[in-house]
Amino acid sequence: MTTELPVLAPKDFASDQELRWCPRCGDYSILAQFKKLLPTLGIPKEKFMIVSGIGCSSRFPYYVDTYGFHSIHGRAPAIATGIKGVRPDLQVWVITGDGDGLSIGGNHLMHVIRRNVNLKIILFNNQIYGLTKGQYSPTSPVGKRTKSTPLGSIDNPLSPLSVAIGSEATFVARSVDVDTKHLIKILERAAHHQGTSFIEVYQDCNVFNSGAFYYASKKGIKEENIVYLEHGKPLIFGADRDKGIRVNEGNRPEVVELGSGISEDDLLFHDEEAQEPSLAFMLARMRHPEFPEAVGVFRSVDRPAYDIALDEQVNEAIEQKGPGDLEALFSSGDTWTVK
Amino acid sequence: MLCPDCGFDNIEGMDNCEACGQPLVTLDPSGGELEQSISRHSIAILCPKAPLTIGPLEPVSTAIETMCQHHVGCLLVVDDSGDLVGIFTERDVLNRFSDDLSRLPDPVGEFMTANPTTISQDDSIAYALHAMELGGYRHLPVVDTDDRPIGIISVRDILRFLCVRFAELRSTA
Repeated sequence: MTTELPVLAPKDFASDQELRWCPRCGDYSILAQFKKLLPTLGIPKEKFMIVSGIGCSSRFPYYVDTYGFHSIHGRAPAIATGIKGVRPDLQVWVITGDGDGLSIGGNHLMHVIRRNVNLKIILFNNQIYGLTKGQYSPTSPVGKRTKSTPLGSIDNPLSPLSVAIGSEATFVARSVDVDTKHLIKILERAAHHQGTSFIEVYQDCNVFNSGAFYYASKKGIKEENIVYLEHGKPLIFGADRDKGIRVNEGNRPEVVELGSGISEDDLLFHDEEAQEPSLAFMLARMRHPEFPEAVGVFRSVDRPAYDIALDEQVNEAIEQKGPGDLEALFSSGDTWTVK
Repeated sequence: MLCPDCGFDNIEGMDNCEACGQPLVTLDPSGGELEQSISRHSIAILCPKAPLTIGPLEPVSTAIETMCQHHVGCLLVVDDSGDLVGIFTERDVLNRFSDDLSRLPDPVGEFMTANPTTISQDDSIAYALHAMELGGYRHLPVVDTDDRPIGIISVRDILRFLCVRFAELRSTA
Protein backbone atom coordinates (compact mmCIF):
# COMPACT_ATOMS: atom_id res chain seq x y z
CA MET A 1 0.00 0.00 0.00
CA THR A 2 1.33 3.42 -0.90
CA THR A 3 0.47 6.70 0.74
CA GLU A 4 0.10 9.62 -1.60
CA LEU A 5 1.39 12.98 -0.52
CA PRO A 6 -1.34 15.57 -0.07
CA VAL A 7 -1.37 18.20 -2.82
CA LEU A 8 -0.19 21.42 -1.23
CA ALA A 9 -0.62 25.01 -2.33
CA PRO A 10 1.31 28.17 -1.41
CA LYS A 11 -1.36 29.07 1.13
CA ASP A 12 -0.57 25.86 3.00
CA PHE A 13 2.83 27.34 3.76
CA ALA A 14 1.45 30.63 5.08
CA SER A 15 1.80 30.84 8.84
CA ASP A 16 -0.60 32.54 11.21
CA GLN A 17 2.03 35.06 12.27
CA GLU A 18 1.53 38.76 11.62
CA LEU A 19 4.06 40.02 9.10
CA ARG A 20 6.15 42.72 10.68
CA TRP A 21 8.16 43.93 7.73
CA CYS A 22 7.59 47.50 6.56
CA PRO A 23 4.95 47.87 3.86
CA ARG A 24 6.50 47.60 0.36
CA CYS A 25 9.62 45.88 1.69
CA GLY A 26 11.34 43.66 -0.88
CA ASP A 27 11.17 40.77 1.59
CA TYR A 28 7.49 40.23 0.79
CA SER A 29 8.26 39.33 -2.78
CA ILE A 30 10.94 36.83 -1.81
CA LEU A 31 8.58 35.25 0.73
CA ALA A 32 5.82 34.98 -1.88
CA GLN A 33 8.08 33.21 -4.38
CA PHE A 34 9.37 30.91 -1.66
CA LYS A 35 5.84 29.90 -0.67
CA LYS A 36 5.02 29.27 -4.32
CA LEU A 37 8.08 27.06 -4.71
CA LEU A 38 7.75 24.75 -1.71
CA PRO A 39 4.57 22.91 -2.79
CA THR A 40 6.15 22.14 -6.16
CA LEU A 41 9.11 20.26 -4.72
CA GLY A 42 7.23 17.11 -3.75
CA ILE A 43 8.66 17.16 -0.26
CA PRO A 44 6.42 16.58 2.77
CA LYS A 45 5.79 19.79 4.66
CA GLU A 46 7.35 18.49 7.84
CA LYS A 47 10.63 17.85 6.01
CA PHE A 48 11.35 21.54 5.47
CA MET A 49 13.45 23.48 7.92
CA ILE A 50 14.26 27.18 7.75
CA VAL A 51 17.09 28.59 9.85
CA SER A 52 17.83 32.29 10.13
CA GLY A 53 20.11 34.62 12.06
CA ILE A 54 19.18 38.14 13.09
CA GLY A 55 17.87 40.99 10.98
CA CYS A 56 14.73 41.91 9.08
CA SER A 57 15.10 39.00 6.67
CA SER A 58 15.72 36.63 9.54
CA ARG A 59 12.08 36.89 10.61
CA PHE A 60 11.41 34.68 7.59
CA PRO A 61 10.91 31.40 9.50
CA TYR A 62 7.93 32.89 11.37
CA TYR A 63 6.12 33.52 8.13
CA VAL A 64 6.41 30.08 6.59
CA ASP A 65 4.43 27.24 8.10
CA THR A 66 7.28 24.76 8.36
CA TYR A 67 9.77 23.95 11.06
CA GLY A 68 12.09 26.88 11.63
CA PHE A 69 14.68 28.39 13.89
CA HIS A 70 15.20 32.15 14.33
CA SER A 71 18.66 31.71 15.75
CA ILE A 72 21.74 33.70 16.75
CA HIS A 73 23.29 36.61 14.90
CA GLY A 74 25.41 35.25 12.05
CA ARG A 75 25.24 31.68 13.28
CA ALA A 76 22.49 30.27 11.10
CA PRO A 77 25.01 28.37 8.90
CA ALA A 78 26.51 26.64 11.96
CA ILE A 79 23.12 25.68 13.37
CA ALA A 80 21.87 24.55 9.97
CA THR A 81 25.01 22.41 9.55
CA GLY A 82 24.20 20.70 12.83
CA ILE A 83 20.62 20.08 11.77
CA LYS A 84 21.64 18.72 8.39
CA GLY A 85 24.31 16.58 10.04
CA VAL A 86 21.83 14.68 12.17
CA ARG A 87 18.83 14.92 9.88
CA PRO A 88 20.08 14.59 6.29
CA ASP A 89 16.52 13.82 5.21
CA LEU A 90 15.43 17.43 5.81
CA GLN A 91 15.60 20.16 3.20
CA VAL A 92 17.24 22.98 5.10
CA TRP A 93 17.12 26.61 3.99
CA VAL A 94 19.26 29.33 5.54
CA ILE A 95 17.95 32.89 5.45
CA THR A 96 20.43 35.65 6.08
CA GLY A 97 21.17 39.26 5.20
CA ASP A 98 24.22 41.25 4.17
CA GLY A 99 25.01 42.21 7.76
CA ASP A 100 24.11 38.90 9.38
CA GLY A 101 25.79 36.77 6.72
CA LEU A 102 28.82 38.81 5.74
CA SER A 103 29.73 40.76 8.86
CA ILE A 104 28.60 39.10 12.07
CA GLY A 105 28.55 35.64 10.50
CA GLY A 106 31.11 36.04 7.73
CA ASN A 107 33.33 33.31 9.09
CA HIS A 108 30.47 30.82 9.44
CA LEU A 109 29.25 31.55 5.94
CA MET A 110 32.67 30.95 4.42
CA HIS A 111 33.06 27.59 6.12
CA VAL A 112 29.61 26.26 5.42
CA ILE A 113 30.19 27.01 1.74
CA ARG A 114 33.63 25.41 1.51
CA ARG A 115 32.31 22.31 3.28
CA ASN A 116 29.53 22.10 0.72
CA VAL A 117 26.89 21.26 3.29
CA ASN A 118 23.62 20.46 1.56
CA LEU A 119 21.94 23.74 2.49
CA LYS A 120 20.14 26.36 0.46
CA ILE A 121 21.31 29.82 1.51
CA ILE A 122 19.41 32.94 0.50
CA LEU A 123 21.26 36.16 1.28
CA PHE A 124 18.96 39.19 1.18
CA ASN A 125 21.26 42.02 0.14
CA ASN A 126 19.82 45.48 0.81
CA GLN A 127 23.19 47.14 1.49
CA ILE A 128 22.04 48.46 4.87
CA TYR A 129 21.26 47.42 8.44
CA GLY A 130 17.50 47.94 8.29
CA LEU A 131 16.37 46.43 11.58
CA THR A 132 18.58 48.77 13.58
CA LYS A 133 17.43 51.69 11.44
CA GLY A 134 19.99 52.45 8.82
CA GLN A 135 23.66 51.84 9.60
CA TYR A 136 26.06 50.90 6.78
CA SER A 137 26.61 47.22 6.08
CA PRO A 138 29.49 45.23 4.54
CA THR A 139 27.89 45.66 1.11
CA SER A 140 27.18 49.40 1.33
CA PRO A 141 29.00 51.23 -1.46
CA VAL A 142 31.89 53.61 -0.84
CA GLY A 143 30.56 57.09 -0.12
CA LYS A 144 27.24 55.84 1.26
CA ARG A 145 26.00 58.23 3.92
CA THR A 146 24.25 56.49 6.76
CA LYS A 147 23.74 57.08 10.45
CA SER A 148 27.05 55.39 11.18
CA THR A 149 28.88 56.93 8.20
CA PRO A 150 27.72 60.56 8.30
CA LEU A 151 30.53 61.66 5.98
CA GLY A 152 30.14 58.69 3.65
CA SER A 153 31.48 55.15 3.92
CA ILE A 154 35.20 54.69 3.29
CA ASP A 155 34.96 50.89 3.48
CA ASN A 156 35.41 48.86 0.34
CA PRO A 157 32.26 46.72 0.10
CA LEU A 158 32.23 42.95 -0.05
CA SER A 159 30.67 41.22 -3.01
CA PRO A 160 28.60 38.33 -1.63
CA LEU A 161 29.13 36.31 -4.78
CA SER A 162 32.89 36.85 -4.72
CA VAL A 163 32.91 35.53 -1.16
CA ALA A 164 30.87 32.49 -2.20
CA ILE A 165 32.95 31.75 -5.29
CA GLY A 166 36.17 32.34 -3.35
CA SER A 167 34.94 29.73 -0.88
CA GLU A 168 34.51 27.31 -3.80
CA ALA A 169 30.72 27.29 -3.71
CA THR A 170 29.19 24.64 -5.94
CA PHE A 171 26.04 26.62 -6.71
CA VAL A 172 26.09 30.41 -6.95
CA ALA A 173 23.25 32.58 -8.25
CA ARG A 174 21.81 36.06 -8.12
CA SER A 175 18.32 37.43 -8.60
CA VAL A 176 16.26 40.52 -7.84
CA ASP A 177 13.37 40.70 -5.38
CA VAL A 178 10.80 42.10 -7.80
CA ASP A 179 11.87 39.95 -10.75
CA THR A 180 9.48 37.28 -9.54
CA LYS A 181 9.56 34.88 -12.47
CA HIS A 182 13.34 34.84 -12.48
CA LEU A 183 13.59 34.58 -8.71
CA ILE A 184 11.36 31.51 -8.44
CA LYS A 185 13.36 29.76 -11.17
CA ILE A 186 16.59 30.45 -9.30
CA LEU A 187 15.09 29.23 -6.02
CA GLU A 188 13.96 26.08 -7.77
CA ARG A 189 17.42 25.44 -9.19
CA ALA A 190 18.89 25.93 -5.72
CA ALA A 191 16.36 23.56 -4.18
CA HIS A 192 17.45 20.76 -6.51
CA HIS A 193 21.20 21.29 -6.14
CA GLN A 194 23.20 18.78 -4.07
CA GLY A 195 25.58 20.77 -1.89
CA THR A 196 25.55 24.37 -0.72
CA SER A 197 23.41 26.61 -2.89
CA PHE A 198 24.16 30.27 -2.43
CA ILE A 199 21.75 32.87 -3.79
CA GLU A 200 22.18 36.61 -3.46
CA VAL A 201 18.91 38.50 -3.86
CA TYR A 202 18.97 42.24 -4.46
CA GLN A 203 16.35 43.46 -2.02
CA ASP A 204 14.99 46.95 -1.63
CA CYS A 205 14.82 48.43 1.86
CA ASN A 206 12.35 51.15 1.00
CA VAL A 207 12.76 52.97 4.30
CA PHE A 208 16.50 53.15 4.88
CA ASN A 209 18.06 52.51 1.48
CA SER A 210 15.35 53.04 -1.07
CA GLY A 211 16.27 52.49 -4.69
CA ALA A 212 19.67 50.91 -4.04
CA PHE A 213 18.98 48.47 -6.88
CA TYR A 214 16.76 50.74 -8.95
CA TYR A 215 18.98 50.23 -11.96
CA ALA A 216 18.47 46.46 -11.78
CA SER A 217 14.78 46.35 -10.93
CA LYS A 218 12.95 49.18 -12.69
CA LYS A 219 11.32 48.12 -15.94
CA GLY A 220 12.56 50.23 -18.82
CA ILE A 221 15.91 50.77 -17.13
CA LYS A 222 17.02 47.35 -15.99
CA GLU A 223 17.23 46.01 -19.54
CA GLU A 224 20.34 48.12 -20.06
CA ASN A 225 21.81 47.32 -16.65
CA ILE A 226 21.49 43.58 -16.17
CA VAL A 227 22.44 40.60 -18.25
CA TYR A 228 20.64 37.29 -17.75
CA LEU A 229 22.97 34.30 -17.61
CA GLU A 230 21.90 31.21 -19.52
CA HIS A 231 24.09 28.16 -19.69
CA GLY A 232 25.65 27.70 -23.13
CA LYS A 233 24.32 30.99 -24.45
CA PRO A 234 26.07 34.27 -25.28
CA LEU A 235 25.81 37.18 -22.88
CA ILE A 236 23.43 39.57 -24.64
CA PHE A 237 21.56 42.45 -23.06
CA GLY A 238 19.85 45.75 -23.81
CA ALA A 239 16.23 46.64 -24.48
CA ASP A 240 16.87 45.83 -28.15
CA ARG A 241 19.24 42.99 -27.31
CA ASP A 242 21.88 44.82 -29.25
CA LYS A 243 24.74 44.68 -26.76
CA GLY A 244 26.88 41.91 -25.42
CA ILE A 245 29.85 41.00 -23.27
CA ARG A 246 33.05 39.96 -24.97
CA VAL A 247 36.34 38.92 -23.40
CA ASN A 248 39.11 41.08 -24.84
CA GLU A 249 42.76 40.29 -25.48
CA GLY A 250 43.66 41.28 -21.95
CA ASN A 251 41.27 38.54 -20.79
CA ARG A 252 38.89 41.12 -19.39
CA PRO A 253 35.19 41.56 -20.09
CA GLU A 254 34.07 44.46 -22.23
CA VAL A 255 30.72 45.74 -23.45
CA VAL A 256 30.32 45.62 -27.20
CA GLU A 257 27.54 46.54 -29.59
CA LEU A 258 26.31 43.82 -31.87
CA GLY A 259 26.50 44.51 -35.59
CA SER A 260 29.24 46.38 -37.39
CA GLY A 261 31.53 43.40 -37.48
CA ILE A 262 30.65 41.90 -34.11
CA SER A 263 28.34 38.90 -34.07
CA GLU A 264 26.94 36.72 -31.28
CA ASP A 265 29.71 34.22 -31.95
CA ASP A 266 32.26 36.78 -30.77
CA LEU A 267 30.60 37.10 -27.37
CA LEU A 268 31.31 35.34 -24.14
CA PHE A 269 29.29 32.12 -23.83
CA HIS A 270 28.21 31.26 -20.33
CA ASP A 271 29.31 27.96 -18.86
CA GLU A 272 27.86 27.47 -15.41
CA GLU A 273 29.32 23.97 -15.23
CA ALA A 274 32.97 25.05 -15.63
CA GLN A 275 34.97 23.43 -12.85
CA GLU A 276 37.40 26.35 -12.88
CA PRO A 277 35.57 29.20 -11.08
CA SER A 278 37.35 32.03 -12.93
CA LEU A 279 34.48 32.72 -15.32
CA ALA A 280 31.94 32.89 -12.48
CA PHE A 281 34.30 35.17 -10.56
CA MET A 282 34.77 37.47 -13.52
CA LEU A 283 31.01 37.71 -14.01
CA ALA A 284 30.48 38.42 -10.31
CA ARG A 285 32.91 41.32 -10.56
CA MET A 286 30.97 43.08 -13.32
CA ARG A 287 29.44 46.03 -11.50
CA HIS A 288 27.02 48.76 -12.48
CA PRO A 289 27.50 51.33 -14.04
CA GLU A 290 30.64 50.16 -15.83
CA PHE A 291 29.01 46.87 -16.78
CA PRO A 292 25.57 45.33 -16.76
CA GLU A 293 25.35 43.17 -13.65
CA ALA A 294 24.83 39.47 -14.20
CA VAL A 295 21.79 37.69 -12.77
CA GLY A 296 21.09 33.99 -12.96
CA VAL A 297 23.15 30.93 -12.16
CA PHE A 298 26.87 31.74 -12.17
CA ARG A 299 28.09 28.31 -11.19
CA SER A 300 26.57 24.88 -10.74
CA VAL A 301 29.03 22.04 -10.33
CA ASP A 302 29.05 18.67 -8.59
CA ARG A 303 31.16 17.96 -5.53
CA PRO A 304 30.47 15.55 -2.66
CA ALA A 305 28.23 17.15 -0.05
CA TYR A 306 29.49 17.33 3.53
CA ASP A 307 26.39 15.87 5.17
CA ILE A 308 26.37 12.86 2.86
CA ALA A 309 30.07 12.21 3.52
CA LEU A 310 29.46 12.65 7.24
CA ASP A 311 26.56 10.22 7.16
CA GLU A 312 28.67 7.66 5.30
CA GLN A 313 31.55 8.12 7.71
CA VAL A 314 29.32 7.62 10.75
CA ASN A 315 27.64 4.55 9.24
CA GLU A 316 31.02 3.05 8.39
CA ALA A 317 32.27 3.66 11.92
CA ILE A 318 29.12 2.05 13.37
CA GLU A 319 29.59 -0.92 11.06
CA GLN A 320 33.17 -1.38 12.16
CA LYS A 321 32.94 -0.51 15.85
CA GLY A 322 29.25 -0.87 16.67
CA PRO A 323 26.95 1.88 17.95
CA GLY A 324 28.63 4.32 20.29
CA ASP A 325 28.05 4.65 24.00
CA LEU A 326 27.97 8.27 25.08
CA GLU A 327 28.36 7.50 28.78
CA ALA A 328 31.35 5.28 28.06
CA LEU A 329 32.85 8.01 25.91
CA PHE A 330 32.46 10.54 28.69
CA SER A 331 34.28 8.24 31.07
CA SER A 332 37.07 7.31 28.67
CA GLY A 333 40.49 8.79 28.09
CA ASP A 334 41.95 11.37 30.45
CA THR A 335 39.51 11.77 33.32
CA TRP A 336 40.07 13.24 36.74
CA THR A 337 38.32 13.08 40.03
CA VAL A 338 38.09 16.51 41.57
CA LYS A 339 38.43 16.31 45.34
CA MET B 1 11.15 49.11 20.90
CA LEU B 2 10.21 49.99 24.45
CA CYS B 3 8.69 47.26 26.57
CA PRO B 4 5.34 48.52 27.87
CA ASP B 5 5.83 46.60 31.10
CA CYS B 6 9.36 47.39 32.22
CA GLY B 7 10.39 50.14 29.82
CA PHE B 8 13.49 48.29 28.62
CA ASP B 9 14.64 49.51 25.20
CA ASN B 10 14.74 46.32 23.12
CA ILE B 11 16.21 46.13 19.64
CA GLU B 12 13.60 46.24 16.87
CA GLY B 13 12.16 42.88 15.94
CA MET B 14 12.47 41.25 19.36
CA ASP B 15 9.62 38.91 20.14
CA ASN B 16 10.05 39.04 23.86
CA CYS B 17 11.42 41.76 26.09
CA GLU B 18 15.05 40.98 26.86
CA ALA B 19 14.70 42.30 30.40
CA CYS B 20 11.36 40.96 31.62
CA GLY B 21 10.37 38.39 28.98
CA GLN B 22 7.00 39.97 28.20
CA PRO B 23 5.84 39.23 24.63
CA LEU B 24 6.31 42.13 22.24
CA VAL B 25 4.95 40.50 19.07
CA THR B 26 1.38 41.58 19.63
CA LEU B 27 2.37 45.14 20.49
CA ASP B 28 0.44 47.46 18.26
CA PRO B 29 0.63 50.90 19.78
CA SER B 30 -1.57 53.61 18.29
CA GLY B 31 1.45 54.81 16.34
CA GLY B 32 1.60 51.49 14.48
CA GLU B 33 -0.89 52.47 11.79
CA LEU B 34 0.71 55.84 11.37
CA GLU B 35 4.11 54.23 11.05
CA GLN B 36 2.74 51.75 8.51
CA SER B 37 1.21 54.51 6.43
CA ILE B 38 4.47 56.38 5.96
CA SER B 39 6.13 53.30 4.51
CA ARG B 40 3.06 52.29 2.51
CA HIS B 41 2.52 55.67 0.85
CA SER B 42 4.89 57.06 -1.71
CA ILE B 43 6.02 60.62 -2.21
CA ALA B 44 3.51 60.98 -5.04
CA ILE B 45 0.66 61.21 -2.50
CA LEU B 46 2.16 64.46 -1.22
CA CYS B 47 1.68 65.97 -4.69
CA PRO B 48 5.13 67.57 -4.83
CA LYS B 49 5.02 71.19 -5.95
CA ALA B 50 6.65 72.14 -9.23
CA PRO B 51 10.13 73.35 -8.31
CA LEU B 52 11.28 76.91 -8.76
CA THR B 53 14.60 76.81 -10.54
CA ILE B 54 17.50 79.14 -11.21
CA GLY B 55 20.69 78.90 -13.23
CA PRO B 56 24.01 78.56 -11.37
CA LEU B 57 25.35 81.78 -12.92
CA GLU B 58 22.41 83.93 -11.86
CA PRO B 59 23.27 86.41 -9.09
CA VAL B 60 22.44 85.37 -5.59
CA SER B 61 20.35 88.55 -5.24
CA THR B 62 17.97 87.21 -7.87
CA ALA B 63 17.73 83.93 -6.00
CA ILE B 64 16.82 85.62 -2.71
CA GLU B 65 14.36 87.91 -4.46
CA THR B 66 12.65 84.93 -6.12
CA MET B 67 12.41 83.06 -2.82
CA CYS B 68 10.84 86.08 -1.10
CA GLN B 69 8.45 86.68 -3.97
CA HIS B 70 7.17 83.12 -4.01
CA HIS B 71 7.40 82.51 -0.26
CA VAL B 72 9.54 79.42 -0.68
CA GLY B 73 12.49 78.21 1.34
CA CYS B 74 14.61 76.95 -1.53
CA LEU B 75 15.34 77.01 -5.24
CA LEU B 76 16.69 74.18 -7.33
CA VAL B 77 19.76 75.10 -9.33
CA VAL B 78 19.73 73.61 -12.84
CA ASP B 79 22.18 73.95 -15.71
CA ASP B 80 21.36 74.80 -19.30
CA SER B 81 20.36 71.24 -20.10
CA GLY B 82 17.92 71.10 -17.18
CA ASP B 83 20.09 68.84 -15.02
CA LEU B 84 19.98 69.40 -11.28
CA VAL B 85 23.33 70.70 -10.06
CA GLY B 86 22.43 72.04 -6.63
CA ILE B 87 19.92 73.42 -4.19
CA PHE B 88 19.93 76.94 -2.72
CA THR B 89 18.09 77.19 0.60
CA GLU B 90 17.41 79.65 3.40
CA ARG B 91 20.16 77.88 5.28
CA ASP B 92 22.65 78.64 2.51
CA VAL B 93 21.66 82.30 2.79
CA LEU B 94 22.39 82.26 6.52
CA ASN B 95 25.48 80.06 6.54
CA ARG B 96 27.25 80.88 3.30
CA PHE B 97 26.19 84.33 2.31
CA SER B 98 25.24 86.43 5.33
CA ASP B 99 28.91 86.97 6.31
CA ASP B 100 29.53 89.20 3.33
CA LEU B 101 26.43 90.93 1.99
CA SER B 102 28.50 92.71 -0.65
CA ARG B 103 28.50 89.46 -2.62
CA LEU B 104 24.91 89.93 -3.76
CA PRO B 105 25.94 90.04 -7.44
CA ASP B 106 27.97 86.80 -7.18
CA PRO B 107 26.62 83.67 -8.86
CA VAL B 108 24.28 81.49 -6.85
CA GLY B 109 26.38 78.48 -7.83
CA GLU B 110 29.00 79.64 -5.33
CA PHE B 111 26.58 79.47 -2.41
CA MET B 112 24.38 76.51 -3.27
CA THR B 113 24.66 73.00 -1.87
CA ALA B 114 25.97 71.00 -4.82
CA ASN B 115 24.73 67.50 -5.71
CA PRO B 116 21.81 67.48 -3.27
CA THR B 117 20.21 64.31 -1.99
CA THR B 118 17.18 63.55 -4.15
CA ILE B 119 14.22 61.20 -4.05
CA SER B 120 11.88 59.75 -6.61
CA GLN B 121 8.08 59.86 -6.64
CA ASP B 122 8.05 56.12 -5.94
CA ASP B 123 10.08 56.38 -2.75
CA SER B 124 8.18 55.99 0.49
CA ILE B 125 7.45 58.91 2.79
CA ALA B 126 9.42 57.00 5.43
CA TYR B 127 12.49 57.08 3.21
CA ALA B 128 12.11 60.82 2.66
CA LEU B 129 11.91 61.34 6.42
CA HIS B 130 14.98 59.18 6.89
CA ALA B 131 16.90 61.17 4.25
CA MET B 132 15.84 64.46 5.86
CA GLU B 133 16.89 63.30 9.30
CA LEU B 134 20.18 61.90 8.04
CA GLY B 135 21.23 65.03 6.20
CA GLY B 136 19.46 67.59 8.36
CA TYR B 137 17.42 68.79 5.37
CA ARG B 138 14.02 70.44 5.25
CA HIS B 139 13.64 70.13 1.49
CA LEU B 140 14.22 67.30 -0.94
CA PRO B 141 14.14 67.62 -4.71
CA VAL B 142 12.00 64.98 -6.45
CA VAL B 143 13.59 63.71 -9.65
CA ASP B 144 12.42 61.53 -12.55
CA THR B 145 14.16 58.44 -13.89
CA ASP B 146 16.64 60.66 -15.77
CA ASP B 147 17.46 62.55 -12.57
CA ARG B 148 15.67 65.65 -13.84
CA PRO B 149 13.90 67.68 -11.12
CA ILE B 150 10.13 67.41 -11.30
CA GLY B 151 9.13 68.60 -7.85
CA ILE B 152 10.11 69.57 -4.37
CA ILE B 153 8.83 68.41 -1.00
CA SER B 154 9.38 70.02 2.33
CA VAL B 155 9.12 68.70 5.84
CA ARG B 156 5.94 70.74 6.08
CA ASP B 157 4.32 68.57 3.38
CA ILE B 158 5.08 65.49 5.46
CA LEU B 159 3.82 67.14 8.62
CA ARG B 160 0.58 67.95 6.86
CA PHE B 161 0.24 64.35 5.71
CA LEU B 162 0.85 63.06 9.23
CA CYS B 163 -1.72 65.44 10.72
CA VAL B 164 -4.39 64.31 8.24
CA ARG B 165 -3.57 60.62 8.82
CA PHE B 166 -3.55 61.13 12.56
CA ALA B 167 -6.99 62.75 12.43
CA GLU B 168 -8.30 59.91 10.25
CA LEU B 169 -6.97 57.30 12.65
CA ARG B 170 -8.45 59.11 15.62
CA SER B 171 -11.85 59.28 13.95
CA THR B 172 -11.87 55.56 13.14
CA ALA B 173 -10.52 54.45 16.53
